[in-house]
Amino acid sequence: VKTARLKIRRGVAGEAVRYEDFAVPFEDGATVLDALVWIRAHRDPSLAVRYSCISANVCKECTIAVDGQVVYACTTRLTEARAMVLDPLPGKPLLRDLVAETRPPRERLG
Amino acid sequence: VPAAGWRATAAAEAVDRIRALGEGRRGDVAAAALLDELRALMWDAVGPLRRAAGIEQALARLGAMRAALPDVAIPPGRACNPGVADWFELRAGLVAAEAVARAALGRRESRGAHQREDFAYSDAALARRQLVAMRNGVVAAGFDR
Repeated sequence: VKTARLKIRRGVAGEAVRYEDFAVPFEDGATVLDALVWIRAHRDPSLAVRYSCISANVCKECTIAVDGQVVYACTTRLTEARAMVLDPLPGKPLLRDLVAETRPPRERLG
Repeated sequence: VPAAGWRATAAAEAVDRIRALGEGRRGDVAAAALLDELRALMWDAVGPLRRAAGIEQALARLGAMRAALPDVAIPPGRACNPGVADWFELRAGLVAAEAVARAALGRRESRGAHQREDFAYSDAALARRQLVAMRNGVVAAGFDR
């Protein structure tokens, strides 16, 4: 079993930028989304992540930034080679942790 | 047109309950961990191959998890709080799991994707539907006549 090191942006809009480090066990082929689901079940259930179809890459909900590149968490493989930095989508209003507001304004709940 | 028996205040009360969950709650176990346990429990004890003893153990655990719902920990926060969503998913998932388990326990035969290790063969007398219903929070299954 290998270990991935993730630096994950935490907090809600208006707070100082803060990252939290997680070490996640994984096997070759596991994805960033696998790691996020594992963290929620085993380390910190308060971590906000948006996903729906879980690794079918159908829903496109798990779009985040990994090392500054916008990617799908469910198709981005984990690596031991370096710490991976996870951010919510750039240029969108932050809601919490890795979740940014992606709905058009008139579809938002108050 | 609202359905008969619908109270005008029902929606506001539901929103208040959701907001109350968003205030957060201390507890020993998080809904995310219980959801993980629920999936494993159903796979192990109520999967395609099942037997009465395992299903009964699963039902006992499902009952305990439902009873513990009011004490599940929820992190505070109103904006995009995944702990609140987990709580609702757990509540609904426990009812769905119990419906599956009650129906599996009641069908004392093997048929299609329902394979009972303690009843290896199909029983022509059971080639009938079961009805599963929840009344006042109690899930029950039975053959419809």
